[in-house]
Amino acid sequence: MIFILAVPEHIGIIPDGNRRLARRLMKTPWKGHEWGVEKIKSVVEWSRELGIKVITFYLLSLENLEKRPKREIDFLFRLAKKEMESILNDEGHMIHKNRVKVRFFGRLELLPAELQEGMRDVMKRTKNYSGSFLNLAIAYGGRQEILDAARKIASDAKSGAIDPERISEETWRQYLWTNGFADPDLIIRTGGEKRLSNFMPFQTTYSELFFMDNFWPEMGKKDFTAAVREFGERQRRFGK
Amino acid sequence: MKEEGLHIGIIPDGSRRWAKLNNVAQGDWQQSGKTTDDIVRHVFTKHPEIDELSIWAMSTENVDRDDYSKNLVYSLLEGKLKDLLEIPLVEKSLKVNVVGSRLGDVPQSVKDLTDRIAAKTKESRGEKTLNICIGYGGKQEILDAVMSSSRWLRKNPTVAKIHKNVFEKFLMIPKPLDIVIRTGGEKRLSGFMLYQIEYAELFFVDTLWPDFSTREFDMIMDDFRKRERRFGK
Repeated sequence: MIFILAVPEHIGIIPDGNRRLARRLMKTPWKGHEWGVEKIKSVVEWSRELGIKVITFYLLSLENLEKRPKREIDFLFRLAKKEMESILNDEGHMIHKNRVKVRFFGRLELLPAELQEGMRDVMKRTKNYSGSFLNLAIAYGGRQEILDAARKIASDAKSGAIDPERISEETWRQYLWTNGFADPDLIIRTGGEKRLSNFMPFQTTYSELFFMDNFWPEMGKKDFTAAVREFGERQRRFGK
Repeated sequence: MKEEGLHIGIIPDGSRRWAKLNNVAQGDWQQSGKTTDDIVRHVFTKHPEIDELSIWAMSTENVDRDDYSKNLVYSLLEGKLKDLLEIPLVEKSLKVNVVGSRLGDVPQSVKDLTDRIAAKTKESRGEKTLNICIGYGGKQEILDAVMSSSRWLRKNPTVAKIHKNVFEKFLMIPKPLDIVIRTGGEKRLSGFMLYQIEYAELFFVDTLWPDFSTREFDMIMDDFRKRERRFGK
């Protein structure tokens, strides 16, 4: 029985360190991403046990897409496609067992057409699940999200659809790629780096930040639970 | 590894708790003020690699507080701003900007000082900049920039899509941050410079602001140099 003070409703995760771990174990760096995928599935299950409703993973940034070697990106796309197919063809997949509603967000139009199709199918397939919610940020960039929303609003204002002098935060949020979900209460970043790397800058305003040195595939259930417990401790100390 | 032209942001938290712990009257901001002086001076005299320093003196939310302590923050600010007007640094090489969406709600005496500072340092050939964020919040900065961008688009009807540079020009502080230091133990950003914090290295220290020393600042800079920045690569 785990006693936890206050459990976050929504956790954002920056799963960093796949490549460094693989290199350390003398493997091709992107082999680490395979382990990373498995860890994502485990964490979704641990979250359910702890009563955490929503998890958002920062899987691929626009900067990654631009700067990583093509071989790594292609590998990632194949990995993603394989997982999509598994979700669509295997009734026993943990997504179905745990009734996880999946949602992708980011500049998805930059991804290969096949992958986009797979993502659309997965979102459709899991549309009515409500066991927990899994959001995956792919080809995502916080600044770009803000810029996109600013452009859309400016053009709606120009066409008279909205009044540009009274743009409330509520209206603004509807234009973001994350429209529809609440802000994360807690952000966990593995891999030792202490930065946000352009992950949901607007939405993480009040998020507690938790940095872990372990590389993502190394993060164990104890580490994850400790982060969640630390969140509860901080709520008690600082309040909201 | 970026070794120069750095932009540092500071969230100077913990003064209230420090006052309680040290049996100092709430609203006696002398020690906080001294720390601010020391750090600003230290940054611009001992750290040539730093071009810009942004200090979050008061958030948009705090401006609304009907607080005894809010008024005392304003009197501290007045004092600091008056001091700033005197130091030679300001005349010679430092540009000082006072930024915030809620500047309009700040007392006239503070506003007058900020205007004087802006006027005085406008001519500065300095490559160094000090941003004092008063009545500032990252969310409001973005919403303001969005509204300004919309107005701009209306005035430029032939433009199909707003360029990134246009939007960024409407931000109060255009230069991205390399480092953010938050004192006082909380590990949140609370809306500080959202757009600019993209790839900034974050440092959260438990030390309360009035106790924060130049030595601790130097240790943070040493730490920064050891960090591996990949920018997504």
